[in-house]
Amino acid sequence: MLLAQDCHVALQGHVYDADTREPLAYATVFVLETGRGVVTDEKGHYIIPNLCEQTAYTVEVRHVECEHQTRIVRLQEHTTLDILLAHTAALEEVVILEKALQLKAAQAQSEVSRADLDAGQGTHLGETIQKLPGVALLQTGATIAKPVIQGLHSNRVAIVSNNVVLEGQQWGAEHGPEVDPFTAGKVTVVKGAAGLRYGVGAIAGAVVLEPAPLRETAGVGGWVTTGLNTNGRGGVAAGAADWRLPGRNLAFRLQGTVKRSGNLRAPDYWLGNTGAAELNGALLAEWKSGHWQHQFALSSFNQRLGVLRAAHVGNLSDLAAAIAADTPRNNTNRFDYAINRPYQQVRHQTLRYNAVYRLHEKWKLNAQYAFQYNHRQEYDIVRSATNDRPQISFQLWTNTLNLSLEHFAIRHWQGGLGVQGIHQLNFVGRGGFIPDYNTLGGAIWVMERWRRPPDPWEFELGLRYDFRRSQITTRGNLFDVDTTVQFGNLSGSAGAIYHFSKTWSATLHSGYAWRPPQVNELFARGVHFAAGTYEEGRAGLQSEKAWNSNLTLAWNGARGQCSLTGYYNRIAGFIYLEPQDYAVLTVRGAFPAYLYNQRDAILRGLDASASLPLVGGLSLEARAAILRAHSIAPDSIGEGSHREWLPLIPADRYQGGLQWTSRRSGPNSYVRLLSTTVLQQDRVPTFGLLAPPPPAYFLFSFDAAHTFRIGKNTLEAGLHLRNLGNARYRDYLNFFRFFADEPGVNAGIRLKYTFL
Amino acid sequence: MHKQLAFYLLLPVFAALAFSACKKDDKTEQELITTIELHFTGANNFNQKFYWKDLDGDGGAAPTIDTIVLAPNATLNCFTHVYDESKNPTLDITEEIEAESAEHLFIYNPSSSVVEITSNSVDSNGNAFRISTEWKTTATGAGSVRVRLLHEPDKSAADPGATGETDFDVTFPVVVR
Repeated sequence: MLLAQDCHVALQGHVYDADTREPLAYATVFVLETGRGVVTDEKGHYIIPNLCEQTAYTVEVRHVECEHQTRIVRLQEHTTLDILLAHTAALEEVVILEKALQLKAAQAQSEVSRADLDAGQGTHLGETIQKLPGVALLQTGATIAKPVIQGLHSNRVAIVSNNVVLEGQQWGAEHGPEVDPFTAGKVTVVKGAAGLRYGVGAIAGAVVLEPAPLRETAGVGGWVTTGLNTNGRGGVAAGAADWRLPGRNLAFRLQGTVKRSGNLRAPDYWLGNTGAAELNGALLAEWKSGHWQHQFALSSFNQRLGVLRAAHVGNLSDLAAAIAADTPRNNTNRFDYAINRPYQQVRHQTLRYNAVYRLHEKWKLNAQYAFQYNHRQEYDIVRSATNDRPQISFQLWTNTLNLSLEHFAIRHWQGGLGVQGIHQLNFVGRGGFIPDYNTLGGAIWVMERWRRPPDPWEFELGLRYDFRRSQITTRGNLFDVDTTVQFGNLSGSAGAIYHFSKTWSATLHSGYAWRPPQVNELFARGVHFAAGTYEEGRAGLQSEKAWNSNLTLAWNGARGQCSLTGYYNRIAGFIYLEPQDYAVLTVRGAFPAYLYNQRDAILRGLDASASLPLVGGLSLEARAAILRAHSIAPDSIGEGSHREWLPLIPADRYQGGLQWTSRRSGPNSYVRLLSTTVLQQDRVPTFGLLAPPPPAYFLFSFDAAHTFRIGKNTLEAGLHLRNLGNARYRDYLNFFRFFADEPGVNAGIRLKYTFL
Repeated sequence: MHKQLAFYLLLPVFAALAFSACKKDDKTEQELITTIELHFTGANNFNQKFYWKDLDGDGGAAPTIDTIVLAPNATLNCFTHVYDESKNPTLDITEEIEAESAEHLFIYNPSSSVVEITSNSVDSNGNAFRISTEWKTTATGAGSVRVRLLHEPDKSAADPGATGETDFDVTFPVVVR
């Protein structure tokens, strides 16, 4: 007699490392009888639904650096099975060392959740990280967004993709990061002085993108995704395919992304000339052979971005008229995919070669060479219809070579030391604004980490010395510079983590980082039209030196987490644009003069985030970010000093929402409603502001996703709605706030098919 | 096997994004106005040019501005020329502006009644262009005249001077004696 079987039983649990008891992400849990497998997420969690009762299943658990485990289970009901995987000495220890040294840095950091990463990859890097507490965006329209970490951005934040620090014209407020979020399997924002790991310039932190590890079982696998957005009538298609050859020593990944969108729409009008087009590709290869492991990566990023026509102004009178107008002036108020002048054309290519040689059971040598080419062209509005050339063109060639000697735990200490070299060539040519330069630099660093589980303490100490020498030469009718500048400084970092329990921990970090003045701060000269200012560099500027401390309290429970970070960042010689008391007369009229200057500055704040389970699959999420930043200005009379608020500091911001996650289908099936409140920024400098900061605003967003199983593969479907209420608002950190409202409601869908 | 074929099909996508990183590219073309010339002609073979010049572009040395000196009770014709003297040879932008006359408009604002400025010059569509003007002086005195060139103004608006984008905005001191 055949009884109808109940096949709705789920097997779920966590996979842990047997030695460290840390959750293992990317472990494969495979059920032989059904031929279906899943991969553990960043918390080591997995779920296999729709198994049958009273049936024997062979469950095989594998992870790249561990011996696989097999269990036979016979289920009566939903079962939790936790698995511990042990390292085995027989496997390539090179891989084990990689994992050990990638321990969480002993400083405040936040990782973008899987859901936010999937939902945000189709737009730009800013969209994936902006939900993290302490992160804001400095925008030029909706297509150009630069990360702001605890109030600082551009040259004070490093963007790292696949272990290469991005080198481009990042000094420019209108220069968005040239990186494709689809290449990242994991995005982390490190807060506080990150100079030790990422070099000169990471004084406020870093945004670190890491690709997902290459497939480890032989065969072909990958994913394809498409997305559509109503606002801008845009579409995106991306895909990656991994191929590991039988023998398991050689693997490749080929990846591509294409995006196209047209004019965005604010609640009352179209934003003329805000279309965008992007085409990116990447190739990764990995080869293991005996003691060696080689990695090779090539990537190409190509983007054309329309710049809001209404933001193009000739002089101060035009700008004043634009600020006073209710609707954008000179605006093409209709939808169009065409990208006309003014527009930006950006190209960034990276080549990276990395070799690891395992010297010994506990030691390895690491060498990396990276080449980057960044070409940024600005096509401005011109008189002649036949002029098809850019008005300014920046080309930057960067070569870096990193060598390091690292070791696994020796008496509970692990770390290493290394040297880095960098050569950079910048060519602007007749375009002006900044001169050409040739920079040579180097660094030497040492870092050690102490940990001895189950001891609750962990410590990290590091020291680094960097120097940079630049020859700056431009001869032209408009620009005449010929000088050499040199900067060198120590930076260091000390951090401690204390684990109160399995779920509670505290991290204290203090770091000293520095940044040499950038070429634009030393030698820029010209009118910044969208800001209505004439800006000039100052050749005698010294390096900025920052002492940044932060304390984080974190709770990581099974179904929730919360964290609170308090930080204090003191920057000596903070470089900023200081308004002068005279105007510069140009052929377009007078512009107030701003000269680069430096003063001490203090930035302090609080970032908090929480995700707390309620009833059923419902959870509450909340976030807050508060920042107070001022510089110490000398009094005009007398010997004292007073505080001046720094410009362009993010206003206080709060988020609250509800999420419902399906218990049966796992963390990738959810519905979420989120509200964001950004207050009016009242703490602004006393002069130099063209218009009062925009008022506070409230936004609502809705996200939903579900994962379907199709044989061994999965199909994730997602829906997102941004600015649900079609609110009219402007943001203080968007340069276009003088000209137009932010985009209105946007509905988007995405589909991601993962094949194994 | 077909999975590997699917993999190979992605290769041409990447091949299309090859490197071309090895040359310095200075094909930029900046449009710069360094010089505005007001060329006056009138009775008694009066023929004089007055210049507003900023030869090194924005910043650097301050612009040199001629004072326009005119006789009282005179009617003079004025033609406005625009040049870029930073290029070699000097680029005459006036021709480009005349070629795109429909997208341009010259505006003259005298500061007081020391001079009265009128114009009949029109663009290719018959709308105001004002590249040539008539200046009428009466009594002796001093003042200034603000000369602007607007790009893509709305010529049908009530005040075209408040529309479009400013290509140049210069002020000449004027003395009538």
